[in-house]
Amino acid sequence: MIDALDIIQNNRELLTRALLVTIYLNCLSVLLSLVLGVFIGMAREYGGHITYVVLGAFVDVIRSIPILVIIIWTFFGLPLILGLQNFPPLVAAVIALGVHSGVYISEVVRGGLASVRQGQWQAGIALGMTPIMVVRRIILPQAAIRMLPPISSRVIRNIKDSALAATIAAPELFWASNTLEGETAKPFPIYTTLMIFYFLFNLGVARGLDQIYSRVAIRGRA
Amino acid sequence: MVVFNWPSFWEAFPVLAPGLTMTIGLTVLVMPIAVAVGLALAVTRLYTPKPVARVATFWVEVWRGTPLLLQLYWLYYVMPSEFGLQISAFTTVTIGLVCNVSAFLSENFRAGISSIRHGQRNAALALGMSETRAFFRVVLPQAWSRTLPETVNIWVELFKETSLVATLGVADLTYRAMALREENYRTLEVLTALALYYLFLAYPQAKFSDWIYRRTRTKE
Amino acid sequence: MINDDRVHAQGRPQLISIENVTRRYPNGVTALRGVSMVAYEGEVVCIIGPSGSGKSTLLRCVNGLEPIDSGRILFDGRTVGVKGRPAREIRRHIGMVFQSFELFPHMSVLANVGEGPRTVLRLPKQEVEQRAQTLLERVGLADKATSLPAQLSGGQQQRVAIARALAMEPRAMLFDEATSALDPENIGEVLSVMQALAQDGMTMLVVTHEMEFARTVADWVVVMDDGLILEEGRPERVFEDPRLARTGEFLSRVRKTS
Repeated sequence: MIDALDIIQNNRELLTRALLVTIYLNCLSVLLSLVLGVFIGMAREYGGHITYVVLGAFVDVIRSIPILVIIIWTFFGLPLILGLQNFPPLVAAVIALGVHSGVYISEVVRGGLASVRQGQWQAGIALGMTPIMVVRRIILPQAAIRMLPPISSRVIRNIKDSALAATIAAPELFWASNTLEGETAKPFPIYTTLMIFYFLFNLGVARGLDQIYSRVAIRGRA
Repeated sequence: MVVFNWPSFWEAFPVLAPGLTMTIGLTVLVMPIAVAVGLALAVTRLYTPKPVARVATFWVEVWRGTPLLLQLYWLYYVMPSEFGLQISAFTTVTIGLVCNVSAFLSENFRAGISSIRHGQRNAALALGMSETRAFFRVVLPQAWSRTLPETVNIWVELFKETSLVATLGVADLTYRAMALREENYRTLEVLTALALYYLFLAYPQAKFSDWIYRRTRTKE
Repeated sequence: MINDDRVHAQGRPQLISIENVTRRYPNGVTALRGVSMVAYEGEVVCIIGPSGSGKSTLLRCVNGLEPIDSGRILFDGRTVGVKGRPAREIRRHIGMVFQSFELFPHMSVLANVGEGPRTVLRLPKQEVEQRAQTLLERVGLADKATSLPAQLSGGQQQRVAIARALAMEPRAMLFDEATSALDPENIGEVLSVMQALAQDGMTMLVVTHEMEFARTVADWVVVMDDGLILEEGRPERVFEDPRLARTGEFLSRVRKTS
């Protein structure tokens, strides 16, 4: 493992940049997935039958295709459809991960909104609120709290999937590790260290999200 | 609008088809082994003395908490270099997939069995059953229906995750698609055909999984 | 048209008028088969009857929570609707208390009580807080202002729910089996609040199984069964001398269990 420390020391710049790219990639894709997930989830829950079916088809399609294939398709195929020359791998990865995770989150959102009791609706309407007010002030806050655990596991999943961005040469940590392996021919210390990193990173994120949830959980009780 | 070369699109399907055997074959090969290993891990975590259980939990958390691609790469490089084993890419990815999937399955089984254990187990023991008999005749059958939806889910995920083996040169659907693309440069057509393959296969499985979820929910 | 028995309501305006209302659910069940009744300002009307008689449905039609298929409902002379601004306008003047309390779990008790004035009436923050605090005192829960609903007992939650409805300064209050979901030891505290409200002159429509409450607090009793009103009258008259056999059967069934 001294090897590992040596390699890290000698390639500090590369690894720091790769770490930043990894964090950047995950933050952006998670953000995109949350926005997309809430939008699609709410549209399907409140938007009427046609919206439900059409967006439902989109959700089902994305869920059926492996994330690796989505990443590759987005990087190689999407620019051709949009008529673009180049597509930075990072952009493609953010879009692919964001849409993929977003679709799963939309199902969580939909389930969360539906899980709020009818009585809560009635109580809001009985006070004279408009439907929009009821959703904004009563339904959404409660549902959001309940959605936290499944969304947090999606976030963890997203972090793991982000390693696949290396296949389209996005300069994140896994890609950097492959580069280093090619240079030094020392796969064991490199990949083992990366495993440890991901393990600890995910553990930290999971714990953090659990903490947040435990603080607010009592406000989401049925 | 972009030009979509329909002939090369239709031609892609038969070229990719042999990859289907590998994709499906891997799934069918890995799942039963993973179920067995997963069950063993779950039982270890629940019924063995604390230190042993902790090791099993740690093992499971490592395989659940790190990216599958990295796991496959790690095994692929580390097996020969550190363990001196010269094994094929196919065997490596099979082992990797089993380790990964069994970890998720074990967590699923553990949670399912746990959710039943106490009350039911007590009732069985009060009737005079032994621990083992109580487990097999009372706890496990009930845990089965609770864990089924998630197990089917994991199966569908496994089916999709086999695509990662392409990065190590195992000739599944994705590998063949990338190879074909490099030959004829028909990126959009080939990749869309690839996506459609997975769509047609995974979509019904995912719908089946949803159906199972709904059925077990209403039962309870 | 004031009934002979209804002397207490003489001279008072009709606040709620239910005219030949029918309501049929999409699944085919007819909950209301042509119900007509009135409630005068300041009156406490208790609606009793077996489960499934349509009592709760009727209540939900009065504030437009549920649509009606025929007939009409007037509140203070205005027709009660289900959608749109006029409907919401009317709801501001009617308070409703639910069997399952339906406090908003993500807000504190004080925020719950203040939610109506804040979001619907758009009153300034100061006034909202003051109003909420005063009402919590009125129902005896001033010390629970910062607690969350999950930390309160059922009886306490229901009292908060009453305060929440009162915060809108309604002209009438609808109680939908307000004590049915409570443990026996908590029922009393809620009924006390309701009785105090009645004594303050609030117009109340109370769907209840609590016969003692109906007998002692109500000005008028309406007996429903199977989507129709069987009879109505002063509580002493309905309980002692029911006109219909079915009423008598229902009352004796209830007496046996209480």
